[in-house]
Amino acid sequence: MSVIEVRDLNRTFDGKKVLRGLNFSVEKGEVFGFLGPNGAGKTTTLRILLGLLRASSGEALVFGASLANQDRLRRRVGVLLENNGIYDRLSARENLDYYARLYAVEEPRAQVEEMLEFAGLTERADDLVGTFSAGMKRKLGLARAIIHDPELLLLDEPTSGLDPEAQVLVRDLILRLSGQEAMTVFMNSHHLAEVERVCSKVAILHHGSIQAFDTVEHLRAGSGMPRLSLSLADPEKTATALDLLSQLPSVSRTEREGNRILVTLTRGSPASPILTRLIQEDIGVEEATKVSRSLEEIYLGVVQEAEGSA
Amino acid sequence: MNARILRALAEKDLREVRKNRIAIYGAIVLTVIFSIAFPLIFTQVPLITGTEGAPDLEEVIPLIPLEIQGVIENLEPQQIPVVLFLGYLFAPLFLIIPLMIASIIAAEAFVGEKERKTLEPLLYTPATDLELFVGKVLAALIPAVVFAWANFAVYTFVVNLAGWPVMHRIWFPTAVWWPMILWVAPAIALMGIAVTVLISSKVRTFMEAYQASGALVLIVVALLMGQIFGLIFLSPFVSLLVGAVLFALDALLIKIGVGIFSRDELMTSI
Repeated sequence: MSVIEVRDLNRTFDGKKVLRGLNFSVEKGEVFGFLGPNGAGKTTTLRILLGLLRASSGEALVFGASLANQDRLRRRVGVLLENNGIYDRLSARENLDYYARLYAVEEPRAQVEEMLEFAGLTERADDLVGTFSAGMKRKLGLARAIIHDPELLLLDEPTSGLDPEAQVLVRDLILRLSGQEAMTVFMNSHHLAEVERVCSKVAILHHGSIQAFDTVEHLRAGSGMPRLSLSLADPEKTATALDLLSQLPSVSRTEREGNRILVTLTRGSPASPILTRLIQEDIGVEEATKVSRSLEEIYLGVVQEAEGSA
Repeated sequence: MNARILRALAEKDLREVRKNRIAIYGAIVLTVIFSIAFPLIFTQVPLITGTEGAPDLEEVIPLIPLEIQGVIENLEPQQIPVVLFLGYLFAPLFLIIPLMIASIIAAEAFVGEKERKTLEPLLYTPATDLELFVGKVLAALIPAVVFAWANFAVYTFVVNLAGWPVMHRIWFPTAVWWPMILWVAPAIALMGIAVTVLISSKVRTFMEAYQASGALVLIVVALLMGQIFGLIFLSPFVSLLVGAVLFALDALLIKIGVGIFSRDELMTSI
């Protein structure tokens, strides 16, 4: 059974379709990235998964049931939305203690101390949260979300509004949870570099429908045209090489990047004939590497394609 | 319902209220005015002004209920305002204490959380809608009633101590106060909470909620004026009846409030 199973999910607000027949699943232990621009429907999907919004049609199941009807099932889920929801007038310890008790954690005191340590806030445990920086609040929010040791962690823009150092910290915490604790993580984000580093599987949402859904590796392998980065033995011959390559039918585009040449091949074309041809023209190739497409490029390609077909 | 969850909810709300200046200052002001200043004024003025300075109540006395007239007819002139006001007429006014405290805490618990965006994470917890509702109601009701009772103890002490030179005996509380404090005070506190819950879905800030629920003071004013003008005498029996009517209204309002305090409804108002 999938941890999350979404089937034909639709949601309409005042006659406007926000979600259009979403279908995806998240398996145990996966770190799943739900990507999309603002207004794509990510938070709406998350709220339906949490049982806080009703679907217009279709199903959003967590552990095989709807959280809307299963109060006790929420015990197995940890949540951190874009707003931390931390009480500024309480201390870090009081905040965590409150949620430990609401989630009926067995040893609340010990768990609170462990979470303070996890978030690196032991020394500020008794300070009012209102005096904390955004990064400290985010880490405390994450500690609150996992204080009951959930099997599934739902995150909405987990590093939003954080400085780069705090972003790295939060990202490391997520990786630690998925690695050491084998927690399943579902995260909404439009921070592509973060998703690329953390997630094993992604879905790209645009205008309420899923445009791509696969592992990051498969998306990289299957999307766009293959690219080669060439370093020539004699940089003086770069202009000649560019001229030659641009005439080859298997090459769709060439770009110069310093002393390197970036060659985009037409779909399905192998790289070896290009290298052979360069050598035939006495242009030595010192290094040839296949260039992977970044998630950002994949994402932009998918979104542009969706915009074009709309 | 899980008692552990109810306790956690109530304790957290109380912890927050203790850090809410409006609640703390409100509690201090209420105590100073109702439990200390009023008894001091009504017991010390006759002593300072003497018999000749005692307020002329001849025009007022025919208006007040016959039952109270019967009690004060054998008193010395200096004792009349002390017993009349502190022993009888102020009894309904004292209800402002549980009403205001309950309204402040309820506004904090139901609307303050929404205002500070801390309500949403609460909705992801395993607590049921009913547990969240009851926990927050208890967080407002218990301290409001306990605070009212504590103030009643202070009032009793100050009235008897400061009134000793005039009364020469421990005469307070009178019988009318007991049902007012033990029965009507919890009922009106609950009403403050129920009304705050009802308006919580319509307002966005703590202050809006608190001000709107403040209109309930009119109930207290009506009881006070009704007694001053002889329209009603809050005898123990009448107080029991008033309390019962308030509790019945509370039950109705809370039933509506439970419907409003559901995850579905709350999410649309967050």
